Amino acid sequence: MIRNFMLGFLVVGLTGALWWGYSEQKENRDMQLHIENNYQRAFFDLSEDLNKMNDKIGTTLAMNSRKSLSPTFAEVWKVSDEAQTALAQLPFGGLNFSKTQDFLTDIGHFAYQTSIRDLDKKPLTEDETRTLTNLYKRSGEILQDVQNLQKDVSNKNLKFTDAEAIVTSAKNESMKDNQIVDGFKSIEKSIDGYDLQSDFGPNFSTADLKLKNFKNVTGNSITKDEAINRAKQIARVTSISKVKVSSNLKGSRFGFYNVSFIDNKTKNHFTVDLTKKGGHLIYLLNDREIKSQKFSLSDATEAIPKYLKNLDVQGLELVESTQYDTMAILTYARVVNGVTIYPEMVKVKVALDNNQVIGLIADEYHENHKEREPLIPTISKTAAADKISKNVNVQDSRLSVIMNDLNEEVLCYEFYGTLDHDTFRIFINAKTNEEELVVKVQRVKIL
Amino acid sequence: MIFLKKAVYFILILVGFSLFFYNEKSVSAFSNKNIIKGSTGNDVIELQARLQNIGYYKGKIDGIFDYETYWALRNFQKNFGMNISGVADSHTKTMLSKASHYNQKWVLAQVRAGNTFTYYQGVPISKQVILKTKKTATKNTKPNNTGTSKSATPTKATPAKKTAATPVKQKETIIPPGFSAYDIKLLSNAVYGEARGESYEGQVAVAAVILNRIESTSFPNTVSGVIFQPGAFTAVADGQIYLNPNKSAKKAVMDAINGVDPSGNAIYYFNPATASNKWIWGRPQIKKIGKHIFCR
Repeated sequence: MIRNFMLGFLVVGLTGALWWGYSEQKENRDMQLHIENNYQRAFFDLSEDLNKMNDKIGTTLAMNSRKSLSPTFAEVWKVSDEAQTALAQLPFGGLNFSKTQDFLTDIGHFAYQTSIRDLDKKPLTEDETRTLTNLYKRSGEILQDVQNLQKDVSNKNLKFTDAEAIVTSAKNESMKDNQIVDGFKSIEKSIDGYDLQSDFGPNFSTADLKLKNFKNVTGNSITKDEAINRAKQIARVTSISKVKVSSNLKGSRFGFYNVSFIDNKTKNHFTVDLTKKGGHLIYLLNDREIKSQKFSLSDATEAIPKYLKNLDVQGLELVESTQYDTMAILTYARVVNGVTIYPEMVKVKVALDNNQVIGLIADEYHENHKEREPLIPTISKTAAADKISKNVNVQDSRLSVIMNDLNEEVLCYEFYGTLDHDTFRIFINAKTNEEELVVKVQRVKIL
Repeated sequence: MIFLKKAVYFILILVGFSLFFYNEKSVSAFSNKNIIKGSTGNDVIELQARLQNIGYYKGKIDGIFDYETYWALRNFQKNFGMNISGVADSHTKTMLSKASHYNQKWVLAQVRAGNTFTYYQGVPISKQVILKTKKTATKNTKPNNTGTSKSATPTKATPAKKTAATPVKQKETIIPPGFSAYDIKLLSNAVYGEARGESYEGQVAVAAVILNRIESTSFPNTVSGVIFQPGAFTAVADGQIYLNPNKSAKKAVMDAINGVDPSGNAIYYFNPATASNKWIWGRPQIKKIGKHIFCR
């Protein structure tokens, strides 16, 4: 009786385990399939987008009128963006496919700039036509590579999830065995071989991440000890402990020291980065907790000057102030003869519990600071104001220097205008009278 | 005993008188601090309500001193022949208090309840509010004082004693422009998942790398695009990104958004002990923070 019972129990248990195992495996397989389907779709999208892009670039070569050129460039811009999105969804984030991404971004940027230009007044130059011819050829080659891979993927039933497993596995040796990974690597390699700068022509630059090199900073090289003293001085502390100083690694574009210490008086922990040349502040952080608020935002502005005095910065004026709960962020920019130089900017973070500065960010200032020629507009303010939409109600204006889309400094008339509840900053180039930039001032939002 | 009773009466009369006088003057609950653009809190609520009361401010009374409030204040200063500074200093506050009416108790109650309301003169305040929940809508028919008449403010109402001005507690965090609440949350999750064992500096650096990637032409242009790029971050691959981030991670994200970049413009980082990709060792290395090496 007991034996029969035990047997029955075992059979039920075994069936249960089998069924569980099967369903678990099926679920896993379904999941894998689902992921694979997503990758396949992204890949086919990529191929399709590249195809369209190549087509449209080719078409522009045959066109001559603005009426048909501008919309076609707009389409190149759109399709290149879609291709980028598709590429970013493939499982190769851990690999370096930056060249392919750059290539697509550059094409998009070129197409966008051309699409918004008045091609009747400024038709395509010979250089630009050459650029287009080159891009047509390059994008055709990439398309060919992708289509070859696509053929393999469908004929040989290659799986992106297999490629993903290889890319993310610790064993790098097996990587060369995967056709998909190989295919993408060779695309990347072939783009790397192009001389894109000459393809796009000498006047082309994209709005890439601006890498700092602090080439304008002055002063002598400082030692580690000098760096510690400088950091203490900027943090306005006298007695410190647990001091650590380290140097940048070899791949940095500029030399810097990273100093960290604890202020004996407050037990606060500070981190300070300084350029080796001249010991200029990059940033200072004091990561303490902020207690309940006792000071106002306007109190905070009064606490700043004594800190700025230690920073070898000059002519700073407050341009923006924002309170985040118990913390204030104050933005200062250099003002030269009434012109606000936004690129020369320092940000200060103040704790509103004791009105102490707990953060200083001065890298933009030191990166962009230089002696400046007198900044004189060549067009009048009224002429610039005429450029503004009649719907906008101008409230205030000033002269300022901003960094435009191409990371170039431009002198502008800056107008503050309102439209219903919104405020807009409108920058009109003070030399060419062109609308350089219009931004809606975003309200701080409550999370 | 009788003495005590008398004393109580005396005090009550005194309080009554003081209340009377308090209401005779236009009650101002402003603190003695200057209010500048970007401020938040009760002073800003009063500033907005008063500017709205006399028709200068048409926006929401929410205690955030934004540009709309700024222009309203400047236009008030201009029309009253004052120095156009956009700062509510003591002179401006005195002038504004003389020119406008402010029922602090009522306004703060609306803000606290999250009601949609305005505070214009000449319109009964009961008609200027849409309650947040429909259920309590009938309750609001009682008060019939308007935003104009000073005498209509019942003496029974708690006068603007300093104690009555319990600050409107903003449980919500104010987030910087250019980012959505979801962006901030996602960034905090990523920082927590990737670097919660690291120093504060190391956490800010990880946030900075994500922001640098958004700027870079070699990566997607959005927070979600960069973070969810397949294979880009291990915390995304192993699900650690779905852990609940702590305060430190959120603070680190705010610092990075405000421009702190301890990574030295890096767009990659890796942990040399666990990195599986060989090519990452080929990138130029900028800085080592804790377990991470940052490169470009």
